Amino acid sequence: MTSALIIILGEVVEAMLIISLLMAATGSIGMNRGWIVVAILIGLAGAGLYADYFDAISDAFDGVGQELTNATTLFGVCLCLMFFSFFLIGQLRPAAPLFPLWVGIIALFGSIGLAITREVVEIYIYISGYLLSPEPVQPILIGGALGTGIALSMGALIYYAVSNLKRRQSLIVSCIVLVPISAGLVLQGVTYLMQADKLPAQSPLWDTSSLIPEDSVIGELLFSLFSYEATPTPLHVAFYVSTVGVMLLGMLLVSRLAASGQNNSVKYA
Amino acid sequence: MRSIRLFLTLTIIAIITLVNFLSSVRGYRQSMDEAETLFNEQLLENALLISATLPVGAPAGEKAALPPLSVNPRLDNTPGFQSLLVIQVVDDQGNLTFSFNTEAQAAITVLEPGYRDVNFDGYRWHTLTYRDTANERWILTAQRYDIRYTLAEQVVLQSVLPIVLSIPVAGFIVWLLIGAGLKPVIRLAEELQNKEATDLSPVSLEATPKELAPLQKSTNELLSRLKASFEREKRFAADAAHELRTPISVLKVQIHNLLEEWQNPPPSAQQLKIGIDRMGHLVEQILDLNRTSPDLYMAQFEQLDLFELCQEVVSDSYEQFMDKNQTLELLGEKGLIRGDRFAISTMLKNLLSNASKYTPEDGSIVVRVRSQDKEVILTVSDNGPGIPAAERERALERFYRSGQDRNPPNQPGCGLGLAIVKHIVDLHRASLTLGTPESGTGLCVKVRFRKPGQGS
Repeated sequence: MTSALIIILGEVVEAMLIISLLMAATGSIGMNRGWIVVAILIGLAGAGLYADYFDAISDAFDGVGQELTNATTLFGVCLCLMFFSFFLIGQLRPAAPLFPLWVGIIALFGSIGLAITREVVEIYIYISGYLLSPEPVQPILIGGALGTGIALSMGALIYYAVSNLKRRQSLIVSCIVLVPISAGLVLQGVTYLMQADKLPAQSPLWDTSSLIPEDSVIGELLFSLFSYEATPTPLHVAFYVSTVGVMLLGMLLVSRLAASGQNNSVKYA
Repeated sequence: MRSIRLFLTLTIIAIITLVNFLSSVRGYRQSMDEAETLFNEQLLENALLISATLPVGAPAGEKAALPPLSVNPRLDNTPGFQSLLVIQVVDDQGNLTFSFNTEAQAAITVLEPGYRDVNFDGYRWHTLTYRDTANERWILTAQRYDIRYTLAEQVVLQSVLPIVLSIPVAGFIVWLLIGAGLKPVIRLAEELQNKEATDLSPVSLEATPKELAPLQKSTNELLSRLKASFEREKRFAADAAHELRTPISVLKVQIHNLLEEWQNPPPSAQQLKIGIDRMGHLVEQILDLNRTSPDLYMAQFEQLDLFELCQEVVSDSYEQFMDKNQTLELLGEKGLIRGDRFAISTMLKNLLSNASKYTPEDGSIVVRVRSQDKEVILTVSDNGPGIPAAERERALERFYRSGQDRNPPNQPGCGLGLAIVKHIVDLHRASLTLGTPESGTGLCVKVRFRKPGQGS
């Protein structure tokens, strides 16, 4: 049960974090939340396609196709979240949004769609592997239910916590929380590239696995929040810090642009 | 927040789920640790039992002499239990003297007291090495790791499963309870929503909860202030009417006397009289317009016969039609409506006044009251110039004049007549249409009232 709980909890929490934050943020700027439903459907369709071609993808690139696909997906989600946070910062002045609506919609589709695709495929791989083993099914069902319940509850609480803030605060909080999430996704992508031997393996800079093991519930929650890595290498740290830096600098620049009124006065409902 | 009920239900269920599920996970882990201890104790008990009952030097493969091993009768019937336990007895030289449930020909684990995990017979086993000091031998007991884990998990999950299954039930109950708790709020909202625009009576709820009492009190105070404000507005309108009417009436008398005194009154005196008449008419119309505004008018609805009311108004205003030698016909039948007598009379007077004003001398005006299905229809038709279709919408606006040149000379008019009619129609939730009579010329004003008891 524990393994099912931890794996499903990790995957669903990651997706729920992104969905609930983006849902609260889109609500704050008056964007139609129907786009989120469309993005989730796109993600589910993507997961179906991925699962259908799973063997072919796994065998591609000398057997590291899955790792490379996962890394690409994670970098894609990070990039879309980065653009979406810039889009949100550009909305700080409701009378004169800095970016047109389609920028937000594309970033929303990309981030939620790719995140859902990845998480659903991960769960699919785990469950299909488990079903092939002679182990009883009840523990995985209960573990999955517990993990999903905890993740959905966290998502609901985060959504209401952010959406009950004032518009400006809601946008700023969403963007700030998106920073460690995005950097964490890059961190996971780097790990996949190391597994695929596309990046050199390195000795860890530190080891906190005795304090918070990665496979514990807390470790899994921290992993979902900012990809907690008990034994990060210099490359991990470099990518993490770079992503955080780029996002914060980008948001600062966009907020300056928005404040100085250098906009195209794009208006939409 | 779009819905308080959804917000409360989701957040409460989310918190219940988080607390319960995290507690379950913690409970599960503690229970699994406890089960681990129990299984270890079982290994020890079995070793002690062998120590006490198995004679020294019993040949390997002896099974008949074994006493019942289980300490938990429930486990005896569990599939896989037969392969759960392995027992070996080894002497100090390492020779196997007794073996149960394994084909292993050597000691399955090291001969040092304690619990260990080892692999043999193709499985992972949890073993206990027990030193039987009295008989100077080693007793080794082992349980298959996967079966131990599965059995423990089966037992522990029985306590977790009801918690998982209870969440949807809890969600449903919370949804119902919050709905019940919010009922007074919904009732208050409905009561305010269903109030007529002119109903400023206090809102009253049965057994108002203390959380809603301040809101109800504030609402009632607001309604009370609003009512007082309307009363002042009405008093002001009445006072203003009185204050304006009196000097205008005096002016009318003075100009009449002046015209009488002058043998040949100058044209400017005639213009002055027309101006005073027009001012008087304008004041009356403005007061009527304000009085009949649906937002302000405190209507007193009663059941009226529209045809009977038309008869009264027609007889009162017959003189103005006589002056222009116009014919006025009143046709129709009894038509019962719910309406305010004063407002409907004002509406009829305005319609007749308009018809007379724009109909040429010797023209004809027809007033008809018709009862049809769920409606009572009032039609006032004339054979004047009418209003072009494109201008009919605007004709209902205040101070709208359909071409100054069309306004007959010496006829006071200020463009408020149809605006007043529209106010009164709205007040009665009736409908108003301007059209052309069947004769093809003139204006046909049609007002459709719902019959009493035909809904709003």
